[in-house]
Amino acid sequence: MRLALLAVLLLLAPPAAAQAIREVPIPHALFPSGLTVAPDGTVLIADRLGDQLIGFAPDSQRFTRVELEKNTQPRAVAVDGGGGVWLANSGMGRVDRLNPPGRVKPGDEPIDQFTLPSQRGSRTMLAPWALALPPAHDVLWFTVDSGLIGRLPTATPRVRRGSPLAVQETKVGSSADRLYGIAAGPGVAWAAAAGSDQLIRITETGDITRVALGAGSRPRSVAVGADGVVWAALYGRRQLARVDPRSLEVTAWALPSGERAVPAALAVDGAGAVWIADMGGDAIVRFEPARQRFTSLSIPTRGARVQALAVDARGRLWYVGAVSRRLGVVE
Amino acid sequence: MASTPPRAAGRGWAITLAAVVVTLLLLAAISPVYRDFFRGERDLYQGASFANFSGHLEYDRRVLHDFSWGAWFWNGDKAMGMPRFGEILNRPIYPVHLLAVALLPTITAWHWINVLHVIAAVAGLVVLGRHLGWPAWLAVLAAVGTMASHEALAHFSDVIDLAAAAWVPWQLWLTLKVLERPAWGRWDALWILCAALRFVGSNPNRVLYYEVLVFAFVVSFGWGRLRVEIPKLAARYALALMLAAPLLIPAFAHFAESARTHFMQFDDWHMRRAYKWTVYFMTPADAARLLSPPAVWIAVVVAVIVVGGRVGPLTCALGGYLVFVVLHTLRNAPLWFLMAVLPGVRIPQKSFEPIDWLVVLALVETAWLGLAKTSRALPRVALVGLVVAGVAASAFMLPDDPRRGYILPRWTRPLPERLAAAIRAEPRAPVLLATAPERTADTAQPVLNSNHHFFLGIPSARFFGDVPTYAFMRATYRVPGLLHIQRSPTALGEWEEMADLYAALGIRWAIWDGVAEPQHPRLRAAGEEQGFRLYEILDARPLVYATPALRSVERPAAPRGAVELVFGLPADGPFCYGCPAAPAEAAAAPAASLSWRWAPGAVSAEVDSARGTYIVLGETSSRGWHATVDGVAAPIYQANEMFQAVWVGPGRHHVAWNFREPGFFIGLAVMAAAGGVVAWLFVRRPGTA
Repeated sequence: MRLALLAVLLLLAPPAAAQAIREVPIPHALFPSGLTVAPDGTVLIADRLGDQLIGFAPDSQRFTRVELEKNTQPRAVAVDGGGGVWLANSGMGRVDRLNPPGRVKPGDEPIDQFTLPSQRGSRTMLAPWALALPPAHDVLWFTVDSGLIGRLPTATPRVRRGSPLAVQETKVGSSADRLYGIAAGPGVAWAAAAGSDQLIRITETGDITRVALGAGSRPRSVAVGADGVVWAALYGRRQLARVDPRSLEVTAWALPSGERAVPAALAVDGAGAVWIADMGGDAIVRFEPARQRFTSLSIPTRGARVQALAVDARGRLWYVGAVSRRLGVVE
Repeated sequence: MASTPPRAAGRGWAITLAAVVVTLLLLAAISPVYRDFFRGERDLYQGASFANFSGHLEYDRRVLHDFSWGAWFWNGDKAMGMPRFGEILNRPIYPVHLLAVALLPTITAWHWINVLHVIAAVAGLVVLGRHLGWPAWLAVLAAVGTMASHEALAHFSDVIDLAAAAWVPWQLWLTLKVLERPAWGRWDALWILCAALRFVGSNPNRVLYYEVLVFAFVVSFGWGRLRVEIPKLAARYALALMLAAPLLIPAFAHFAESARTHFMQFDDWHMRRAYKWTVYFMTPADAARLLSPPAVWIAVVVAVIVVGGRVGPLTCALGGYLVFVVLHTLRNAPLWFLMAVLPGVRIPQKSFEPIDWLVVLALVETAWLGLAKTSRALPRVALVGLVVAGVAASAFMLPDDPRRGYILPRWTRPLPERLAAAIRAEPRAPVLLATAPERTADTAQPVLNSNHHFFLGIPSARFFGDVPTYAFMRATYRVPGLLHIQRSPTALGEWEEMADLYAALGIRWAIWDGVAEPQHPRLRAAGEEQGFRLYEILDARPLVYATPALRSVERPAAPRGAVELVFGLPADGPFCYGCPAAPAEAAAAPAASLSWRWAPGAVSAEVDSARGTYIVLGETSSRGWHATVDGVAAPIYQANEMFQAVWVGPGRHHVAWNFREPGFFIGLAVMAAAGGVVAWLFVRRPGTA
């Protein structure tokens, strides 16, 4: 009886309707596609075609810009526990670390560049695409468009310009596999292979497990919750999928916007709720696993093409519209 | 100068002709490059994908077979449309091209044009050598050594270099002919015609340096009478430039609106370095290349020593040119700044080129000086040995493998004709091409590129070539797939995300040449053929559309500002510079009805609107476009950075855009006047100066 009453209360409880979206235009941005929140609360945006890193301070509502090397094309951004800012430089075939001021000695370059070993001697420009840090922030994982998964200890000492020595890369497929998103848990990373309709689990020792998600599922993004559960945005099937990390059992739910739905980016908040950027439905969708229930919030700017989400320490969800060039927050 | 008896002259020409044939046979025998080239087994020229120039030849063929002045002046099939005379590297009036495509299918014409230029170079070298008094066997050796050298083979890297080099030996020979005759005559006429032919058929970079070499020849062979010869040379050049005026006047008119002229503004364009002349200066590697292969240079030095330090006038001319090169390419040397007045032209590094392949001539001339002066066996054997060794070194000490380098296997993949037909069946809209799974160099992995579209008969949104128009460059230099990495294919991850921007720019189609599938809500699979997949970009702007209100914005001075406006098109809508704000009621009025008709350089539209509207034409704005509304001239506003908008008032109206090349007909008149002078020079009798 008590459980039934609880269930009724949960069903009748007001959803995230109290939540509201606020957007702000990102000055001088061209195509912002990467997003993260630094430990100090600063929102960092990677502007792929603008070759710049944009910072937004929520308290002062001010933007700052760091112009990067020409044609670096930063596709994703992540911040490690030491304040190092990592960029997936899709135009240069490498990942860069922007060191915080305290880590840079006078006269030092503030940026460490980690070239992919495969890039050396290659006539093809490899493109690191997505970044992920596990909760301990000790290892940076990243996907590369040619079917590679890279791994790099975040505490890697400062290196000479372009040194590939620190990067470990594992070939898990080819460019046809279309490795998009990546997420990391303790000792393990999960990559979404949109071209081959699977999630690829790789451990720090290089063990690989493939989880088939069904033909035409086209997983684009992946996220790992605090409980280790893996979530994937299935672009092709317009679904959100849950993968049990132990049994590898897959469960999927259709997004509320139906045929218009195009799930693109994912994030899991502290409460275990899954946030999905629905590119087709122009919505930010929240999924509560316990109640298996979606709540949808319309994005104010139509055709925003949200490609990245991040949850800050206060539980706010931030998103960036690559086409609208607006930064949004769900509060 | 005593005239040669006709029979002796005829015999001399027969020997020369035989020497040309022998040279070609020898080249085919010793060089896999020439062998495969003549047989057509390899013809994808390194560094410039198969269709780089054959695509433009196909366009020329279409123009000739279905002529209109609009198509002659305006190439609407490239880079959202661009002036045909604005890209002179495609040699829009080169007679060799026009004649070949008038008579032959394009690919056949393309092959034979290149064969012709090789034969022309060989014949010119033999004729030049024979004129210098060399026996036929020595002329043959000189031509073989020159044509088999690395730099001559490197001409295959860009077919325009092949054409630029082909006529140089003839120009040098004609220079010797005119120097032998103080009076103006038919040799001057031929010299002028040859120069004009080179001007309209060559790479301007190359031509500029070849003219320095011609000047060195005049100084060396005409020493002692330069007071007469230099003004004559200037007059000949003036007439040659006048003959080329139909190309040069429009080309200079467009140079001002070419991205070349403004490339320094693109401080965040990663390729700006390529066009900044200050980054070019001689490095140790350049010096090593200049003296490559070293055996040839050593042979020249030893030959000079063997003949007692004497050098001939040809060697002096090449030496003088070498001095120029050094002064031109050493950093901060007196001539380093020369030609910097031409912005966006990559000059200094190319100045090495004439020396690199013509140095063999200096060796042969020096040897011939010795052979003609001494009858002693040892020096003669030594000199012949040096020539043979030099020629062998030139032919075999190649930095690239001649079995695989210089020219590459033919493109044999069938083109997606059915997909192209599907595109042509729809209203005209630009197509995105040149996509591939990975960003590889075009030499490594030829892909369907933005010149194949000429054969497919579909308009390309992408610019492929050297430097586009300033407006196109400002709008697209950061847009993947259009210009961003202009010589490499655009990978899927780069172009799929641009679908919204492509739609705003009117790009309705993308042909994907890869294995994976794009992921974007706007992309609809529309067909597959031969491994190519056609995607429709949904809701793309039509080529001509009505919009009641354009956002009037201030034109950003820096290209970066223009790019920000362009990337804002999907979310913020179209914009224009300096256009009057539309009446407020226009925005609220019902959509205007519009129909339009496109022809190259001639676009018309019928529009009916309740409160007035802007009509936007999605072709690049350029000098030469004129618009009328109901037959009355109307101002054209620059819209979306590179397009053109015209305002029409309420009611039904007829809008017409027409492109006429500025300066072309003036150039024709100038050419006719110069042609009359040259014809008079040709027919006048000697001694009537």
